[in-house]
Amino acid sequence: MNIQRVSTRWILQSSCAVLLLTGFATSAISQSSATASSATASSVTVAHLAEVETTVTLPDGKKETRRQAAAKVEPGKTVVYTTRLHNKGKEAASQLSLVAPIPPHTTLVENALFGEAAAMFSIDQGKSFAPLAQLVVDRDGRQRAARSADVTHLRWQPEKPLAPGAVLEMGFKVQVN
Amino acid sequence: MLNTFTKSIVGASLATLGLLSATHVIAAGTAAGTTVNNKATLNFSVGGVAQPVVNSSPTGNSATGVAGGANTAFIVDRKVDLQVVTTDSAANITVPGAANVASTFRVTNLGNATQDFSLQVESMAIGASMVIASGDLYANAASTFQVSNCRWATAASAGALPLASAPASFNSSAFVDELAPDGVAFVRVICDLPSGPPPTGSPGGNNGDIATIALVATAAESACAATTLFAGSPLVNISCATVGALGGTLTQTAGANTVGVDTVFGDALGRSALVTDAARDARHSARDAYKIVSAQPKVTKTQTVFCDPLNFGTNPKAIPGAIVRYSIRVENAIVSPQTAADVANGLLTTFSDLLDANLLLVTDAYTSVSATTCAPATGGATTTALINVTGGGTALPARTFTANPTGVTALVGSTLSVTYNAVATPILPLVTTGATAAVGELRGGEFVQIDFYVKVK
Repeated sequence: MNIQRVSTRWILQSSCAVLLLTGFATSAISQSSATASSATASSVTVAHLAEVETTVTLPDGKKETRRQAAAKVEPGKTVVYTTRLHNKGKEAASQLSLVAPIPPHTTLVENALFGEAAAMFSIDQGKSFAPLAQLVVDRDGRQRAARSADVTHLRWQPEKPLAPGAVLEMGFKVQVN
Repeated sequence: MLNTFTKSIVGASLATLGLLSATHVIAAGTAAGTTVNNKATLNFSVGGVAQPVVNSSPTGNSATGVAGGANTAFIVDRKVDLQVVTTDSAANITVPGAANVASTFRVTNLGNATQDFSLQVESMAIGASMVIASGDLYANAASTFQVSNCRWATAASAGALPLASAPASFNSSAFVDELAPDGVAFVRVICDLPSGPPPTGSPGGNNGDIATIALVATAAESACAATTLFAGSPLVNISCATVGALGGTLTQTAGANTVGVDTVFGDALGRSALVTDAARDARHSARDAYKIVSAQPKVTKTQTVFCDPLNFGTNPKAIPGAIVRYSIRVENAIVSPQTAADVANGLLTTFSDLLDANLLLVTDAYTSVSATTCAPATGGATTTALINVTGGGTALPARTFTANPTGVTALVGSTLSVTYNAVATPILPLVTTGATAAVGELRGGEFVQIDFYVKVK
């Protein structure tokens, strides 16, 4: 992939696809340097849970939704992914940026994201992120608004630092194809 | 910076399209036994200093680096689902007493694993009908009779199915072997109607009589390709068959998740009746029907005074010496609803007409009868050119008729006999175009007319 600077725009070109970004440096670029670091213990732990929801009827007749670990799931069912950040250090962690790929064989469920920060969406394997409403898919010159099914990655960037001892959760739901 | 982000356009190369479509749902879904992995990645800073990346794990990971963390994974269970539909858009037209009448179905594996499918054909009880609202492909009236001796054959495509004219290719033990997810198999069923032409009014003997059948397919274990389909996951609960042999009965996993690949039935309610076919029982069924559309012969005899010896051709009267023209029209009044109209054909054999004692058959060529003189223009007795044969009608496909004056006729005493299906020179079929027709055939909507002349003694 070639990356060329043109005025304030980044143009990323693959064999046929062209991605235009305006005034925005992708996290993928910044990640590339971060991932080169050697393995050490971090002050922040990242737990990533995959769960399925089941509805049970309580003795009083009320229904309650419960979650249990998704060990095995049949096609068509929904899996809830929850990422839990826990700052076990003594200093606040700031400039948090969590990227979660949509797993293969699954499709992001629409309007089923949760967490303390708004998520951004990527439809190009995490190269760029934006609100879903701003993304457009161009297939052979025919453009259409991006849909949940087009999303490949999600990114959360909470503005508030994660204080020592604090826990932050965010997540999404997918349907198994 | 995100606030300044404007519309992004992702041009879709073939590769990108592949990535996008990879998440789209397909009918069968993700293959059973597939492990779905996922790992989240965190970037952050402490004291304004960027920290090494941290990947996630199911229980919480703090080891840094791209190799850190562990996948949060689950395995895709086996969903058993199938659909049976008929590919016939209307009842299959047949005639009383017919054997090996065909109907065609399609079986689709909507599950996410390769399965075998056993097959059954149910001759549905009288009164059963085709109802679109209940899932049938077309509507039909209630059954009035039942077919028997149903056998079937399967193929990967409709065109590869054996024809009903080769009944030896059909049996009642054929099954669909190793049908992959999203795969389809076609099934042709042949059945027999009550043998022999039943008397009018009996079930299976009348125009419009209907018999309904149901094809029932039941998912069974397959050879299950243990090395690929369930690679990486325990084969608990899976009892693999061998290719070419019908697999064992499937059992839905009861209770909580097991350590193996669980089996979940997801099929819809079927349309069989004698064989229980509820929703989520690894079985599905569809109905199809046979409808009797037989020949409906109609015979009309008309007469016209052609001439008399006094008035000749002007207002002739039936006085002695007058020549009268008789026209006997045999019509197949049933109009077949199918383009392959042969199922509604009648096969005519002979026709005879006893002349009144006061009449004398004009043995001269009728075409030579002169209305001006009311006498044959030329003499010479003959018994071979007494009649004129014409035909026509609205058969599908349309056929063109030509007069056949050389039809086989005979005059014995006062009886005129016409043989429609003589082997050497048949009157019928009067075909000059269209499909091959059987000797003596009169298709639905067609007629054949015999004209001959008599003289009043």
